[in-house]
Amino acid sequence: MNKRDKAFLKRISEELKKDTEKFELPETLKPESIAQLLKENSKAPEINEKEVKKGIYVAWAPSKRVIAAAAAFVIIAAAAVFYIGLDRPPSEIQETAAETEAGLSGDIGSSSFDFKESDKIGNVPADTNLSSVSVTQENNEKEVKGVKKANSYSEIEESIWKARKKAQNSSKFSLKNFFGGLFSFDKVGDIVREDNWLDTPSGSESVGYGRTNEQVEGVAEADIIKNDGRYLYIATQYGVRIVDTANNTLKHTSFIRLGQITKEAFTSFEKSTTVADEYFTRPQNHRILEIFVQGNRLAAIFDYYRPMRVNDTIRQGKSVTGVTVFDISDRSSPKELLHYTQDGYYVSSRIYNGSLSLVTSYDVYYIEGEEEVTKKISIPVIEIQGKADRLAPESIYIPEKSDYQSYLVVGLIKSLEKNSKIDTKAVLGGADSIYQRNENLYTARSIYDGGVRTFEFRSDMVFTDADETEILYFTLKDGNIRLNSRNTVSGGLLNQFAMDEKDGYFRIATGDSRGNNLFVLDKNLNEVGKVTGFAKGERIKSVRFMGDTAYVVTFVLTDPLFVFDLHDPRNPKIVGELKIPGFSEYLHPVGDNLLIGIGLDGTDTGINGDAKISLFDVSDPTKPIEIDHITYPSARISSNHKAFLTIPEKNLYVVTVMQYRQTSAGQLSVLRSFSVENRRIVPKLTYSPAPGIDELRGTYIGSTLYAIDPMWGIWAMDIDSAEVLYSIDFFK
Amino acid sequence: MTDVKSNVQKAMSGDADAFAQLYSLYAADLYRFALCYLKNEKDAQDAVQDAVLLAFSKIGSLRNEGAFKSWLFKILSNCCKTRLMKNSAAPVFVDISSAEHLGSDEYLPASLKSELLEVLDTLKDEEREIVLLSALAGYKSHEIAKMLGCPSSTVRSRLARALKKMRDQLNYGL
Repeated sequence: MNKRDKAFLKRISEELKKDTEKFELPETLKPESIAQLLKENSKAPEINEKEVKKGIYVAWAPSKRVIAAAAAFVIIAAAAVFYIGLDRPPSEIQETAAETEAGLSGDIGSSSFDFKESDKIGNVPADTNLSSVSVTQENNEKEVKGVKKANSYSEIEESIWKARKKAQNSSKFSLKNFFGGLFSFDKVGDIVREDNWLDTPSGSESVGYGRTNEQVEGVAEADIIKNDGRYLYIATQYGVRIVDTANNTLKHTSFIRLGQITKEAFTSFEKSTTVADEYFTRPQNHRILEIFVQGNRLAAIFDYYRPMRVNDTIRQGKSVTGVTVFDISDRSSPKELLHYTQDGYYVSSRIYNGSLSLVTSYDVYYIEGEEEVTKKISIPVIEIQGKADRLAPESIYIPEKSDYQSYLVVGLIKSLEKNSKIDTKAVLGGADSIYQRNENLYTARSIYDGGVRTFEFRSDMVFTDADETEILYFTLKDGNIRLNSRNTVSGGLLNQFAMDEKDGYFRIATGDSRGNNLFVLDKNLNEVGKVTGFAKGERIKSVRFMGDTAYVVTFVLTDPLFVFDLHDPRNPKIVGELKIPGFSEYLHPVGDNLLIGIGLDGTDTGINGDAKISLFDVSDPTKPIEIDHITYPSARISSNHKAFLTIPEKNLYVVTVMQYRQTSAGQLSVLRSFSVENRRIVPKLTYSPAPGIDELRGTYIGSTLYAIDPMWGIWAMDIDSAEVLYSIDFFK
Repeated sequence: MTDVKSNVQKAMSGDADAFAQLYSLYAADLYRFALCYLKNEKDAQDAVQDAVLLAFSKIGSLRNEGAFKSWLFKILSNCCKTRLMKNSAAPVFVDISSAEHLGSDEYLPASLKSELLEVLDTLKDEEREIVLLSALAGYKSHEIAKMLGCPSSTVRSRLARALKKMRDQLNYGL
C-alpha cells in the first residue's frame, strides 16, 4: 500500500471511530451479559426461522443485485448451517438412521400414466402411441422402501403442517428443512454447464467443433454456451443470442428474449390461477439460466420469482423454474413450441435420448398465523402451455416420518416438440445435485441433522459438511418418471462427479468431519460395499469415477489422491495414495493411464495462490505418481468442468484462467491452452482478447477459437497463433 | 494480561466465562465493526450476539488458538452480511406500490449516519468488508486474505480500488 492510501485508511479509521464513539457498548453486549447469554444458550443458539428463510430466498430471486452477492452468499449459508449442529439431540439422529432401515409398505410406484387421468396436468400423454409397456409398468409397481404415495392433498398438507409445527415447537429452527434443498453443491458462483449433440450439426461435419465437457457420454447437460459447428448460442439472464460463424465473420442472427416471446402464455397463466396460486402475484422478471441445443431445437431453462400477496401484504414468495422450447430451423426467427414450468428453484437438468429432465427444489413458505394459506400453497404447481394446476396427489410421494417442508420436483419432457408428453413427480424433501446415466436419474440431497462438525469459513471448504446424503433413484422411460428407491448414506456430497453408476451399482463418495466414505449401492440403494472414515479431517475436493476405479482428492494442507478399486462391488478398497502440495478441483482422464488435475498449487503449509495443472500416471493404481505439473502464478483456473475444453484435432486442452493482477482492471480472465505430450504437460498459448473481462469461455470451430464473454462479445482467434481475427461486440 | 490461549482452551471445553473473557478483549471493536456495517444499534447488537453464540457453539473446531480474533471477526462479518441481506431481501422483489409493507426502514431505530458511512455504502460488499477489516479491526492484507481465502494480492487490489472510490467522494484532502 502506498503512503497516500495508508494515510487515507488511517483517516477513515479515525472517522469511523469518531462516528461510533457515541454508541457505547450496550448492556446486552457487556461481557457479563454475554457470559449469561452463552450459559442460557449452551444447548443451541436460537434463530428466528423467518429471518433465516428470508436470507436464503434472496439468493434465488431474479435480481441482478442479489446475483452479484452469490459469492458472499456461499459463506453466509455455510455460517447459518452450523446453527443446526445442535438442533437435534443424538437420540433423534439415531432415530433418523433407523427410519431408513425400517421401511414402509405402501402404494408405491409410477402414476405417471393412467388413461383416466390423461387430461390432468402433470400427466399429459399427448403422444397417441402410448405403448403397452407403460401399462405393464403400471402393473409392476413395486414398493419403495420408506416412501409412500400420497392419497390426498390433505394428507400432504398435514404432513407439511406437522413438520412446520414440529420445527416451531423445538423453538430452534430446523434448518435442514430448508438447507436440505437450498444449495446446489455445484459451485454457486459458476453459471456454466454442458451439452452433446444428438442431431446432425448445422455446420460442416468435416470440421471439428467445441463440445462441452460432459460427465456421462450421451447425457447432455445445459450450459450458457452452445456450439453446433456453425452457430454459437450464448445465454445470459436476459436472453439467448444466436451468432453465425460462417464466412469468417461473426454475424448476429437473432436474440431470444423470453418474456417477450412467451407473453401470451403468461397472460393466460394469470387468468388460469388455481386454488394453489391465488396468493401469488404475477411472475416477476424471467431469468435465463442455461440452454440446450439439439439439432433444430433450443430449450431455454429459466426461472422467475412470484411474491405472495396475503391480506394486501406482499410476502416472500416462491421461485418457479421452467423450460421453453424453440424451433430454430430458421435461426433468424426462433418460434416457441412448448412452455412448461414447475415450482422450485433450479437444481439441474439433462437431456437423454431426446427427453429433457428438469429437477427443482420447492420450499413451502410459511405464513405466520395463516394455517389455511400455508396449507393451500403446500402443493407444487405446474404449468403447461399457460395452463396451471396443482400436481395430482398420486404424483406426490411422502417419505416415511417425513418432517420436510420442501419438495424435490422432477419434470420430464418426453421430446422437444409441441404437445410433448410431460410427466411430473414430487417427493417431500429436496435435491442439491443430480447424476443421470441414460434412463437412470439419481438425486442427492445433504441433510444437516446434528453432530459435531469442523468449522471452516473458507467458502470452498464448507460444502461437504452435511451429516447425511439422501439419495433417490428414478427411472425415466417413455416419458414416465418412476421412483424406484430411496436411502441415505452418511456424509455430505461434493458435486455430481462424486456420483456414478456402473453395471447396476451406484457409487457415491461423501465426507464430513468424521472422515470420508465411498459407498457402493445396488438398484434398491441398499449398501453392498463401502470404505468409510478415510482421510479424517480432510475435505473431498474432487472425485472422478473411471470404470472400476475411483479417484478421490482430499485436502487439508497437502493433497492426497486416493485410488479405489471397485471391481468387487462388495469389497471396494483403497489401493493407492499420493500426497502432493495444493489440490485438484477437477480431474479429467486422458486415456486409461493418465489423469489431468486442475486446481491450486501449494506448499506443505497450504495453498499459495497459484493455479496448478497436474498430470498423474495412474497406470499402476497402487502407485499413482504426479509425473508433471505446470503452474500459473497468482491465478485460479475455473473448476467448472464445463469450462474445460478439449480440441482433439490439435491435441489441445483449453482452460479458463482468472489472473489476479494488481491493476485497475482487477481480475483478468484469459484462456490458456496446453497439451499432453510424452507424459509431459506442455503449456501452449494464452488467449487474451481484451482486458478486464469477467469470465471468458472458450469453444472452437475448425481452427478458430472463440473466446466468449456472454455479456460483451465474442473474439474469434487463431488457435495456433492466438491472434484476434475478428470479433463481435454485443453492445454495438 | 489475559491469557488468550488458555481461555480459548477453556472455552473449547464449554467454559462460558472464559469465552466471555476472550470476548471482552474485542467487545468494543466487534460492536463498532457491526455498527459500521449495519448502521443501526439494534441490528449491530443482534449481529454481535449471533456471532458470539455461533462462535461459542463452534469453538471446539477452532484449530489454531492464535487465530481466535480473526476467526471471531470473520464470523461477525458473516453475521452482518446475513442481516444485511435479510433487511434488503424483501424490497427487491416488490413492486413500488406495495413496497412500504416491507421497507427496511422500519428496522432502523437510532441509526448511524455520516458522510463516510454513506460513501462506504457505495462500495461492493467485498470491498466494504476489506475496508472495515483494515480500518477498524486493523488487519493486514495477508491476514484478510487468509480469512477470505483469496490471494493477498486480490485483497490489496480490492482495497486499493475501494480507497480510490472513496477518495473520489470524500474531501479529506488526501
